[in-house]
Amino acid sequence: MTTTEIRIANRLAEIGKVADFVDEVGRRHDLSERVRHDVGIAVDEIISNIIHHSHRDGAEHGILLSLTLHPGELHAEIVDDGPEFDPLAYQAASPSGSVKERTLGGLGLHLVTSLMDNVRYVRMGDSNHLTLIRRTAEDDASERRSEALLSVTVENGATIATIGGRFDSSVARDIRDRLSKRIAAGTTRMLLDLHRLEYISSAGFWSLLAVGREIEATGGRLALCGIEGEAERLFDLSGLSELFTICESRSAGLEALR
Amino acid sequence: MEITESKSGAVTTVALRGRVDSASAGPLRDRLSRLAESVPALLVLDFRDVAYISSAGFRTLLIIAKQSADAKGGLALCSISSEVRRLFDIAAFTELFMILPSREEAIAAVVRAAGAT
Repeated sequence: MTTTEIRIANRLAEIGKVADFVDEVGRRHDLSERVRHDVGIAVDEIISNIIHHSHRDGAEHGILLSLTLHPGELHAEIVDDGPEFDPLAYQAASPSGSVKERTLGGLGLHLVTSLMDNVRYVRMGDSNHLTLIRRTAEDDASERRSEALLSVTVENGATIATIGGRFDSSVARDIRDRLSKRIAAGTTRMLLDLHRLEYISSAGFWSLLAVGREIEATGGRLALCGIEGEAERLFDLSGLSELFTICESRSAGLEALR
Repeated sequence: MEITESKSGAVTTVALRGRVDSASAGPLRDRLSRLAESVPALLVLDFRDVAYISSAGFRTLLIIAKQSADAKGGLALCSISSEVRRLFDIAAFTELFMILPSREEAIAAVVRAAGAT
């Protein structure tokens, strides 16, 4: 799990730093523009709300934002030491009305709940912890794309999945879901052939790790083969190679799973 | 966020670039308020280079729209990307404004609307 964090003071002038931070971390993890913007807006709403309403003592307080990339999801946790406040306890009003009659109470929270897939609040000790969760895979086209990138055959009782092209956040969730379904259907030996892979992002790595954990939980095993060229370089850079069983060839992979 | 003003006849076009968020909404409101006070206040906000808009940005738009309506001015928005349009739809702000595809059409719409009042 990769977590990156930034701490700011409770002043509006600090908000620009937060927006830049979200954008930069999102780009580094290959997240789509929509995901970066949605999380940027939601974080802006929550932190500006804390700055405007939380601390009444006029003193400087720190607000901590941590971004963690989970398989298929970005979690943004915001921690502040203000009085207990659960924004989810307030019904986000659906906005309506003309220019003259429109009021804006609750619009920020309405945006947050519309743009995020999940929001959790917990009070721990003297701090509020709010976690914003956004799926990192795109909703519509990604399933079709992942289908084009993933082909599955069964050989000698082992499932061989070939993953090609760009294995990034736009397809990682769907590829993981499709492999999970195989595991749920009883697959216990799975070989991922990556010789057609052009690129793998951290989202891709996390979905491979998640698939590995999942199959091991059922007593099965996962092996990887065909890691060459650019993919080999990215595996080396990731430092995650030793978490996988990596084989030279497809036959060596099948042998390892026997 | 960057704000660039330009004049076309009686209409002032304000091009916004970057994030309209809680950090930039205040300065933007001050700037637009001054423009909305002039008579006649004919304003076009060009959204072509806006990355996103948060509730603070919507609040500013609403304040300026009210001010403009009170002054019998005209206000239109233009060149809103589909991504930003999605946010307008979620906030139910789409129907509150004259939204035109291009700057030229928005300027013409503001002039027409002002002439009609």
